[in-house]
Amino acid sequence: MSDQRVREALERLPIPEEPPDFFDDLWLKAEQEEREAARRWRRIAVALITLVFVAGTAAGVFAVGRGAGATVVDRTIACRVITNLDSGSVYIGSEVRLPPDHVNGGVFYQPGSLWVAGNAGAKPQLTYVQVSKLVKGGYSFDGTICKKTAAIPLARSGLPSLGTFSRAGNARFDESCDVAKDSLVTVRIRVTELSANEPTGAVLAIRSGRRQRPTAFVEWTPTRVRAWLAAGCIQR
Amino acid sequence: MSGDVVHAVERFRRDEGHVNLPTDRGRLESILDRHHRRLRRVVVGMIGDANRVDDVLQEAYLKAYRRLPKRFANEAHEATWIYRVVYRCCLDELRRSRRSRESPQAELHVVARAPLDVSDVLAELAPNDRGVLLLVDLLGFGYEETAAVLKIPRGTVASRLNAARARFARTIDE
Repeated sequence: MSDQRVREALERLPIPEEPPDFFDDLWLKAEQEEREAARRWRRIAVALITLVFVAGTAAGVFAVGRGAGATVVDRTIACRVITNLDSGSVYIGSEVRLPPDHVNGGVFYQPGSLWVAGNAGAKPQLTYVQVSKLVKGGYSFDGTICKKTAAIPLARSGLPSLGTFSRAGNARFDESCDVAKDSLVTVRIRVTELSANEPTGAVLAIRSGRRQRPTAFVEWTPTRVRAWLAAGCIQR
Repeated sequence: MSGDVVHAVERFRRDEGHVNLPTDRGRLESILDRHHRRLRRVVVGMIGDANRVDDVLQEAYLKAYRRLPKRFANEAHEATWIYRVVYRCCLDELRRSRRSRESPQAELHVVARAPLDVSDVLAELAPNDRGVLLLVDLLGFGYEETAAVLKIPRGTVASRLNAARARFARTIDE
Protein backbone atom coordinates (compact mmCIF):
# COMPACT_ATOMS: atom_id res chain seq x y z
CA MET A 1 0.00 0.00 0.00
CA SER A 2 1.52 3.32 -1.08
CA ASP A 3 1.70 6.42 1.05
CA GLN A 4 -0.91 7.93 -1.24
CA ARG A 5 -3.31 5.09 -0.48
CA VAL A 6 -2.70 5.58 3.23
CA ARG A 7 -3.66 9.22 2.82
CA GLU A 8 -6.76 8.28 0.85
CA ALA A 9 -7.74 5.76 3.47
CA LEU A 10 -7.31 8.37 6.20
CA GLU A 11 -9.53 10.73 4.25
CA ARG A 12 -12.31 8.21 4.78
CA LEU A 13 -12.04 8.66 8.54
CA PRO A 14 -15.65 9.15 9.64
CA ILE A 15 -16.04 12.47 11.41
CA PRO A 16 -19.04 12.53 13.74
CA GLU A 17 -21.35 15.48 13.44
CA GLU A 18 -20.57 18.30 15.77
CA PRO A 19 -23.28 19.28 18.25
CA PRO A 20 -24.74 22.68 17.30
CA ASP A 21 -24.13 24.05 20.80
CA PHE A 22 -20.51 22.89 20.95
CA PHE A 23 -19.04 26.37 21.27
CA ASP A 24 -21.88 27.75 23.41
CA ASP A 25 -21.25 24.89 25.78
CA LEU A 26 -17.50 25.51 25.64
CA TRP A 27 -17.76 29.18 26.56
CA LEU A 28 -20.29 28.43 29.26
CA LYS A 29 -17.78 26.04 30.80
CA ALA A 30 -15.04 28.64 30.42
CA GLU A 31 -17.14 31.24 32.24
CA GLN A 32 -17.95 28.77 35.00
CA GLU A 33 -14.28 27.96 35.34
CA GLU A 34 -13.42 31.65 35.55
CA ARG A 35 -16.05 32.23 38.22
CA GLU A 36 -14.78 29.25 40.19
CA ALA A 37 -11.21 30.46 39.82
CA ALA A 38 -12.25 33.92 41.04
CA ARG A 39 -14.04 32.36 43.99
CA ARG A 40 -10.99 30.21 44.72
CA TRP A 41 -8.73 33.25 44.64
CA ARG A 42 -11.10 35.15 46.90
CA ARG A 43 -11.04 32.25 49.37
CA ILE A 44 -7.24 32.12 49.19
CA ALA A 45 -7.06 35.88 49.69
CA VAL A 46 -9.39 35.73 52.69
CA ALA A 47 -7.41 32.81 54.11
CA LEU A 48 -4.15 34.68 53.59
CA ILE A 49 -5.49 37.86 55.15
CA THR A 50 -6.78 35.84 58.10
CA LEU A 51 -3.45 34.09 58.37
CA VAL A 52 -1.56 37.36 58.28
CA PHE A 53 -3.92 38.85 60.85
CA VAL A 54 -3.60 35.82 63.15
CA ALA A 55 0.16 35.76 62.70
CA GLY A 56 0.37 39.46 63.40
CA THR A 57 -1.82 39.16 66.46
CA ALA A 58 0.16 36.18 67.69
CA ALA A 59 3.40 38.04 67.08
CA GLY A 60 2.00 40.98 69.00
CA VAL A 61 0.90 38.76 71.84
CA PHE A 62 4.26 37.06 71.95
CA ALA A 63 6.03 40.38 71.77
CA VAL A 64 3.96 41.82 74.59
CA GLY A 65 4.22 38.58 76.54
CA ARG A 66 7.92 38.46 76.07
CA GLY A 67 8.29 42.07 77.01
CA ALA A 68 6.02 41.92 79.98
CA GLY A 69 6.78 38.55 81.39
CA ALA A 70 9.60 36.92 79.55
CA THR A 71 11.95 37.51 82.44
CA VAL A 72 10.48 36.36 85.69
CA VAL A 73 12.76 35.64 88.59
CA ASP A 74 11.27 33.71 91.45
CA ARG A 75 13.66 33.11 94.30
CA THR A 76 13.47 32.27 97.96
CA ILE A 77 16.30 32.99 100.33
CA ALA A 78 16.80 32.54 104.03
CA CYS A 79 18.84 35.13 105.94
CA ARG A 80 19.94 34.75 109.54
CA VAL A 81 19.35 37.72 111.81
CA ILE A 82 22.62 38.31 113.64
CA THR A 83 22.59 40.93 116.36
CA ASN A 84 24.02 41.70 119.77
CA LEU A 85 20.71 43.09 120.86
CA ASP A 86 18.01 41.18 122.62
CA SER A 87 16.03 40.85 119.45
CA GLY A 88 16.60 41.48 115.81
CA SER A 89 14.73 43.41 113.18
CA VAL A 90 13.75 43.00 109.59
CA TYR A 91 13.13 46.16 107.61
CA ILE A 92 10.71 46.28 104.75
CA GLY A 93 10.35 49.34 102.58
CA SER A 94 9.03 50.45 99.25
CA GLU A 95 8.22 53.50 97.23
CA VAL A 96 6.60 54.23 93.92
CA ARG A 97 8.17 56.13 91.05
CA LEU A 98 8.54 59.82 91.74
CA PRO A 99 9.94 62.71 89.72
CA PRO A 100 13.70 63.21 90.03
CA ASP A 101 14.55 65.27 93.06
CA HIS A 102 17.22 67.95 92.97
CA VAL A 103 19.39 67.80 96.08
CA ASN A 104 22.45 69.98 96.59
CA GLY A 105 22.76 70.67 92.92
CA GLY A 106 22.57 66.96 92.05
CA VAL A 107 19.73 64.92 90.65
CA PHE A 108 18.24 62.25 92.85
CA TYR A 109 16.33 59.72 90.75
CA GLN A 110 13.38 57.95 92.32
CA PRO A 111 12.29 55.25 89.89
CA GLY A 112 10.45 53.23 92.54
CA SER A 113 11.86 50.43 94.64
CA LEU A 114 11.25 47.58 97.07
CA TRP A 115 13.71 46.26 99.59
CA VAL A 116 14.10 43.99 102.58
CA ALA A 117 16.96 44.37 105.04
CA GLY A 118 17.94 43.03 108.42
CA ASN A 119 20.60 42.92 111.11
CA ALA A 120 23.83 41.27 110.13
CA GLY A 121 26.22 41.35 113.11
CA ALA A 122 28.56 44.27 112.76
CA LYS A 123 26.35 45.70 110.09
CA PRO A 124 23.25 47.18 111.61
CA GLN A 125 21.48 46.76 108.34
CA LEU A 126 22.16 44.49 105.42
CA THR A 127 19.99 44.53 102.35
CA TYR A 128 18.68 41.06 101.70
CA VAL A 129 16.68 41.84 98.61
CA GLN A 130 16.32 44.93 96.48
CA VAL A 131 14.26 45.72 93.39
CA SER A 132 14.94 48.97 91.60
CA LYS A 133 15.79 50.34 88.23
CA LEU A 134 18.90 51.78 89.84
CA VAL A 135 20.19 48.34 90.78
CA LYS A 136 22.27 46.60 88.15
CA GLY A 137 20.04 44.05 86.45
CA GLY A 138 16.94 45.50 88.14
CA TYR A 139 17.18 43.43 91.32
CA SER A 140 19.76 42.03 93.75
CA PHE A 141 20.01 39.35 96.41
CA ASP A 142 22.47 39.23 99.25
CA GLY A 143 24.88 36.37 98.90
CA THR A 144 26.87 36.83 102.10
CA ILE A 145 24.49 35.63 104.79
CA CYS A 146 21.43 34.72 102.72
CA LYS A 147 21.15 31.26 101.19
CA LYS A 148 18.71 29.77 98.78
CA THR A 149 15.99 27.80 100.43
CA ALA A 150 12.67 26.10 99.76
CA ALA A 151 9.91 28.35 98.49
CA ILE A 152 7.32 29.72 100.89
CA PRO A 153 3.76 30.59 99.84
CA LEU A 154 3.52 33.81 97.91
CA ALA A 155 0.33 34.87 99.65
CA ARG A 156 -1.08 37.32 102.15
CA SER A 157 -1.65 34.55 104.66
CA GLY A 158 -4.09 36.57 106.74
CA LEU A 159 -1.80 39.53 107.30
CA PRO A 160 -3.47 42.91 107.97
CA SER A 161 -3.26 45.50 105.25
CA LEU A 162 -0.81 48.32 105.65
CA GLY A 163 -2.33 50.21 102.76
CA THR A 164 -1.95 51.12 99.13
CA PHE A 165 0.80 53.50 98.12
CA SER A 166 0.89 55.61 95.02
CA ARG A 167 2.06 58.94 93.79
CA ALA A 168 -1.34 60.41 94.50
CA GLY A 169 -1.16 59.73 98.26
CA ASN A 170 1.50 58.12 100.38
CA ALA A 171 4.24 57.21 97.99
CA ARG A 172 6.37 55.07 100.33
CA PHE A 173 6.55 53.05 103.47
CA ASP A 174 9.47 51.90 105.62
CA GLU A 175 8.60 49.45 108.37
CA SER A 176 10.51 47.53 110.98
CA CYS A 177 9.34 44.16 112.24
CA ASP A 178 10.85 42.49 115.28
CA VAL A 179 12.15 39.01 114.80
CA ALA A 180 13.80 36.62 117.22
CA LYS A 181 17.56 36.89 117.60
CA ASP A 182 19.50 34.45 115.42
CA SER A 183 16.32 33.32 113.73
CA LEU A 184 15.92 32.98 110.00
CA VAL A 185 14.06 35.44 107.84
CA THR A 186 12.77 33.73 104.75
CA VAL A 187 12.08 35.98 101.78
CA ARG A 188 10.45 34.89 98.58
CA ILE A 189 10.24 37.37 95.75
CA ARG A 190 9.05 37.10 92.21
CA VAL A 191 10.35 39.90 90.01
CA THR A 192 9.04 40.60 86.54
CA GLU A 193 11.25 42.55 84.19
CA LEU A 194 10.48 44.28 80.92
CA SER A 195 14.19 44.10 80.22
CA ALA A 196 17.34 44.17 82.29
CA ASN A 197 17.24 47.13 84.71
CA GLU A 198 13.54 47.60 84.00
CA PRO A 199 11.55 45.84 86.76
CA THR A 200 7.85 46.17 86.12
CA GLY A 201 6.54 44.32 89.12
CA ALA A 202 7.38 42.24 92.13
CA VAL A 203 5.55 40.15 94.68
CA LEU A 204 7.19 39.58 98.03
CA ALA A 205 6.42 37.33 100.98
CA ILE A 206 8.36 37.17 104.23
CA ARG A 207 8.22 34.64 107.03
CA SER A 208 10.32 34.93 110.14
CA GLY A 209 10.93 33.64 113.64
CA ARG A 210 11.39 30.13 114.85
CA ARG A 211 7.93 29.18 113.64
CA GLN A 212 8.32 31.02 110.35
CA ARG A 213 5.14 32.97 110.76
CA PRO A 214 3.94 35.26 108.01
CA THR A 215 5.56 38.67 108.44
CA ALA A 216 4.92 40.60 105.28
CA PHE A 217 3.39 40.43 101.84
CA VAL A 218 3.92 43.16 99.26
CA GLU A 219 2.69 43.68 95.70
CA TRP A 220 4.91 46.21 94.03
CA THR A 221 4.82 48.05 90.71
CA PRO A 222 6.61 51.31 89.93
CA THR A 223 3.31 53.14 90.18
CA ARG A 224 1.44 51.36 92.94
CA VAL A 225 2.35 49.34 96.03
CA ARG A 226 0.09 47.35 98.28
CA ALA A 227 1.43 45.95 101.53
CA TRP A 228 0.25 43.61 104.23
CA LEU A 229 2.38 43.46 107.36
CA ALA A 230 2.29 41.61 110.66
CA ALA A 231 0.69 43.54 113.48
CA GLY A 232 3.96 43.95 115.32
CA CYS A 233 5.66 45.92 112.55
CA ILE A 234 6.17 49.62 113.16
CA GLN A 235 6.99 52.57 111.00
CA ARG A 236 10.64 53.52 111.16
CA MET B 1 -8.37 68.07 18.11
CA SER B 2 -5.51 67.94 20.55
CA GLY B 3 -3.80 64.73 21.55
CA ASP B 4 -5.27 64.87 25.05
CA VAL B 5 -8.79 65.09 23.71
CA VAL B 6 -8.22 62.14 21.39
CA HIS B 7 -6.90 60.17 24.31
CA ALA B 8 -9.90 61.06 26.45
CA VAL B 9 -12.34 60.10 23.71
CA GLU B 10 -10.60 56.78 23.18
CA ARG B 11 -10.70 56.06 26.87
CA PHE B 12 -14.39 56.94 26.97
CA ARG B 13 -15.12 54.70 24.02
CA ARG B 14 -13.14 51.88 25.60
CA ASP B 15 -14.98 52.32 28.89
CA GLU B 16 -18.22 52.28 27.02
CA GLY B 17 -17.22 49.07 25.28
CA HIS B 18 -16.98 50.71 21.86
CA VAL B 19 -13.43 49.57 21.23
CA ASN B 20 -13.07 45.86 20.57
CA LEU B 21 -9.80 45.11 22.28
CA PRO B 22 -8.70 41.53 21.56
CA THR B 23 -9.70 39.55 24.62
CA ASP B 24 -8.36 36.08 25.33
CA ARG B 25 -11.67 34.66 24.24
CA GLY B 26 -11.58 36.65 21.04
CA ARG B 27 -8.05 35.54 20.28
CA LEU B 28 -8.82 31.88 20.94
CA GLU B 29 -11.97 32.11 18.82
CA SER B 30 -9.86 33.47 16.02
CA ILE B 31 -7.39 30.58 16.35
CA LEU B 32 -10.18 28.02 16.44
CA ASP B 33 -11.79 29.56 13.37
CA ARG B 34 -8.66 28.57 11.51
CA HIS B 35 -7.95 25.17 13.04
CA HIS B 36 -11.07 23.71 14.64
CA ARG B 37 -12.19 21.46 11.76
CA ARG B 38 -8.75 19.91 11.37
CA LEU B 39 -8.28 19.60 15.12
CA ARG B 40 -11.55 17.75 15.30
CA ARG B 41 -10.31 15.25 12.75
CA VAL B 42 -7.14 14.69 14.74
CA VAL B 43 -9.14 14.03 17.90
CA VAL B 44 -11.44 11.62 16.10
CA GLY B 45 -8.43 9.76 14.73
CA MET B 46 -6.65 9.73 18.07
CA ILE B 47 -9.55 8.85 20.35
CA GLY B 48 -11.60 6.64 18.10
CA ASP B 49 -14.62 7.02 20.35
CA ALA B 50 -17.14 9.33 18.71
CA ASN B 51 -18.90 9.88 22.02
CA ARG B 52 -15.78 11.25 23.66
CA VAL B 53 -14.55 13.46 20.85
CA ASP B 54 -16.46 16.59 21.85
CA ASP B 55 -15.60 16.24 25.53
CA VAL B 56 -11.90 15.85 24.76
CA LEU B 57 -11.98 18.73 22.34
CA GLN B 58 -13.73 21.00 24.82
CA GLU B 59 -11.28 20.01 27.54
CA ALA B 60 -8.41 20.83 25.20
CA TYR B 61 -9.90 24.20 24.24
CA LEU B 62 -10.50 25.10 27.89
CA LYS B 63 -6.90 24.23 28.64
CA ALA B 64 -5.83 26.36 25.70
CA TYR B 65 -8.01 29.21 26.97
CA ARG B 66 -6.42 29.03 30.42
CA ARG B 67 -2.88 28.91 29.03
CA LEU B 68 -3.24 31.12 26.00
CA PRO B 69 0.12 32.86 25.44
CA LYS B 70 0.13 36.64 25.24
CA ARG B 71 1.40 36.50 21.68
CA PHE B 72 2.70 34.07 19.09
CA ALA B 73 5.83 34.57 17.04
CA ASN B 74 3.96 33.68 13.85
CA GLU B 75 1.07 31.63 12.55
CA ALA B 76 3.14 28.45 12.47
CA HIS B 77 3.93 28.91 16.14
CA GLU B 78 0.27 29.44 16.88
CA ALA B 79 -0.72 26.27 14.98
CA THR B 80 1.99 24.18 16.61
CA TRP B 81 0.83 25.34 20.01
CA ILE B 82 -2.87 24.58 19.57
CA TYR B 83 -2.19 21.19 17.95
CA ARG B 84 0.15 20.28 20.78
CA VAL B 85 -2.45 21.20 23.40
CA VAL B 86 -5.07 19.08 21.67
CA TYR B 87 -2.68 16.19 21.06
CA ARG B 88 -1.67 16.16 24.75
CA CYS B 89 -5.30 16.07 25.80
CA CYS B 90 -5.86 13.10 23.50
CA LEU B 91 -2.96 11.26 25.12
CA ASP B 92 -4.34 12.10 28.56
CA GLU B 93 -7.72 10.75 27.55
CA LEU B 94 -6.19 7.55 26.18
CA ARG B 95 -4.25 7.08 29.42
CA ARG B 96 -7.40 7.62 31.47
CA SER B 97 -9.28 5.14 29.31
CA ARG B 98 -6.53 2.55 29.66
CA ARG B 99 -6.46 3.03 33.43
CA SER B 100 -10.19 2.64 33.80
CA ARG B 101 -10.06 -0.39 31.46
CA GLU B 102 -12.73 1.15 29.31
CA SER B 103 -10.54 1.69 26.33
CA PRO B 104 -12.71 2.70 23.39
CA GLN B 105 -10.07 1.27 21.09
CA ALA B 106 -10.41 -2.10 22.74
CA GLU B 107 -14.16 -1.96 22.42
CA LEU B 108 -13.95 -0.84 18.83
CA HIS B 109 -11.40 -3.52 18.14
CA VAL B 110 -13.75 -6.21 19.34
CA VAL B 111 -17.02 -4.78 18.06
CA ALA B 112 -15.82 -3.54 14.72
CA ARG B 113 -13.89 -6.47 13.39
CA ALA B 114 -16.20 -6.61 10.43
CA PRO B 115 -16.43 -4.40 8.55
CA LEU B 116 -13.11 -2.81 9.55
CA ASP B 117 -13.07 0.97 9.08
CA VAL B 118 -10.32 3.52 9.35
CA SER B 119 -11.00 4.20 13.03
CA ASP B 120 -10.44 0.55 13.84
CA VAL B 121 -7.24 0.45 11.87
CA LEU B 122 -5.97 3.57 13.62
CA ALA B 123 -6.85 2.01 16.94
CA GLU B 124 -4.38 -0.75 16.17
CA LEU B 125 -1.53 1.74 16.18
CA ALA B 126 0.31 2.97 19.22
CA PRO B 127 -0.91 6.48 20.20
CA ASN B 128 2.44 8.09 19.31
CA ASP B 129 2.48 6.45 15.86
CA ARG B 130 -1.15 7.41 15.36
CA GLY B 131 -0.32 11.03 16.12
CA VAL B 132 2.45 11.14 13.53
CA LEU B 133 0.31 9.46 10.89
CA LEU B 134 -2.64 11.78 11.44
CA LEU B 135 -0.57 14.94 11.38
CA VAL B 136 1.47 14.06 8.33
CA ASP B 137 -0.85 11.98 6.20
CA LEU B 138 -4.23 13.34 7.20
CA LEU B 139 -3.46 17.01 7.80
CA GLY B 140 -0.45 17.29 5.53
CA PHE B 141 1.97 18.61 8.12
CA GLY B 142 5.66 18.60 7.26
CA TYR B 143 8.15 16.65 9.34
CA GLU B 144 9.40 19.83 11.01
CA GLU B 145 5.92 20.94 12.01
CA THR B 146 5.05 17.48 13.27
CA ALA B 147 8.27 17.31 15.24
CA ALA B 148 7.42 20.67 16.81
CA VAL B 149 3.88 19.63 17.71
CA LEU B 150 4.90 16.29 19.19
CA LYS B 151 8.14 17.67 20.64
CA ILE B 152 10.20 14.86 19.20
CA PRO B 153 13.21 14.93 16.85
CA ARG B 154 12.60 15.07 13.13
CA GLY B 155 14.26 11.67 12.69
CA THR B 156 11.86 10.15 15.17
CA VAL B 157 8.97 11.57 13.15
CA ALA B 158 10.31 9.86 10.06
CA SER B 159 10.85 6.49 11.70
CA ARG B 160 7.51 6.56 13.48
CA LEU B 161 5.78 7.54 10.28
CA ASN B 162 7.33 4.65 8.39
CA ALA B 163 6.36 2.19 11.09
CA ALA B 164 2.84 3.64 11.34
CA ARG B 165 2.25 3.58 7.59
CA ALA B 166 3.45 -0.01 7.36
CA ARG B 167 1.27 -1.14 10.22
CA PHE B 168 -1.72 0.81 8.92
CA ALA B 169 -1.35 -0.61 5.42
CA ARG B 170 -0.91 -4.13 6.72
CA THR B 171 -4.00 -3.90 8.91
CA ILE B 172 -6.21 -2.34 6.28
CA ASP B 173 -5.16 -4.89 3.69
CA GLU B 174 -6.04 -7.79 5.97
